[in-house]
Amino acid sequence: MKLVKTEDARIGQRAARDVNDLRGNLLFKAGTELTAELLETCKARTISHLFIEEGGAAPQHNPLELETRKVNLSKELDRLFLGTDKSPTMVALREASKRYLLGKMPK
Amino acid sequence: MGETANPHQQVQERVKKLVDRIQGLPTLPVMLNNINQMILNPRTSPKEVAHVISNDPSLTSKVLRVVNSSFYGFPNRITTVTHAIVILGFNTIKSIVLSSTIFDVFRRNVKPGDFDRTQFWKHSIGCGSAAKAIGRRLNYPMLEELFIAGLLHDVGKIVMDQYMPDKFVEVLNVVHTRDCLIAEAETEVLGATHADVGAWLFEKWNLSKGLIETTRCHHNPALAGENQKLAEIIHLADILIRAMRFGNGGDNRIPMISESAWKSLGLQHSDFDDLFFQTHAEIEKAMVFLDFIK
Repeated sequence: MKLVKTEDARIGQRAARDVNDLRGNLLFKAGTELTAELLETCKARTISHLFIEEGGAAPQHNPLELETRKVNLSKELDRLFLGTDKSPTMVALREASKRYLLGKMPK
Repeated sequence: MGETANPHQQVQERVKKLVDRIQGLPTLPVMLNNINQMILNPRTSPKEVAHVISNDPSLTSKVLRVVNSSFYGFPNRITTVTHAIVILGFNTIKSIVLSSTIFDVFRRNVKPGDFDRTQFWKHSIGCGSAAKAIGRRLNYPMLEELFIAGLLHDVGKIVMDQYMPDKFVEVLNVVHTRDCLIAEAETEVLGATHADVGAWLFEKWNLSKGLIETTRCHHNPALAGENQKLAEIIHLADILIRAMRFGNGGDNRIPMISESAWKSLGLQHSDFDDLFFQTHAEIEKAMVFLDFIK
């Protein structure tokens, strides 16, 4: 078990202890796998640190699956920006958006 | 949305027809009205305003939670509302009270399949955060004002969802069927948009001209008159946060950035990467506001 800052905790790691908010309400139990939603809840409840199971690092991603997710994300962004190609500003925004969102995906 | 708008009077007529159908829309909460009046009086002391806020324990707790959050990042804990007012000033406290009040006024039990309020408020918090990031880049003097304007720019959607749910479901169905922007669907179904309805509510509540015009013109900032710069920033922030896919305001398209707003702001395409990064950092600090809806 190790103590990490909530901002450093990663999706896929497991909580080593029950996590309660500042009022003592149980948010989730020990052994729960951390999701983006749970980490967001912790941040919203100003929980600064979490006990994490050792060796519970984020699961290894299948490179092929990861590549598929990246392609799908890129396609989804192209769809969101549909019809905006005539504006150089929108093209620049779309490309920056791809860099930002693809950069957030696991390596 | 296009660069040219419908004639103002026609839109006002349509909004009036629309809101006349709304029954029981809340008035400006007495507490906020009292604070607004007190702040206008130059003789009012922080202690007097703190006394009014302190009569509401839930509000007091929210104000203290926000002022002690990383959103403001003070090194020492602030334990009284009076201390918070002395440090942050009347206007900032008023903004916190306003946002907290709006979260409360438009709270309701949401059934699965309804308009997703959590995603909506995430979009709003994200827009406020993006507005702060843009404002910092432009050395805009009142970042607090930008955050609140971004946080509340889409409040008309909540008004429609809560007070004309059947019509709003129709709007969302059009969005879903045609994959169009929500403002386009609203115009088709209701003859006016969430921007018009939100501005109308803020006018009714006698809120600041800046907040009213920004809300009204966030899809067409050239019409915001003396508040054009503020409206341009919120316009861009709304689009940036959609491009970051943080939260959701009810549709799945990215509107065009107004070319005239882009030129007026004087930003470069190369600024986008840094704006995303800075917005991300601002969102982390602003997540305390999401706690208000729980």
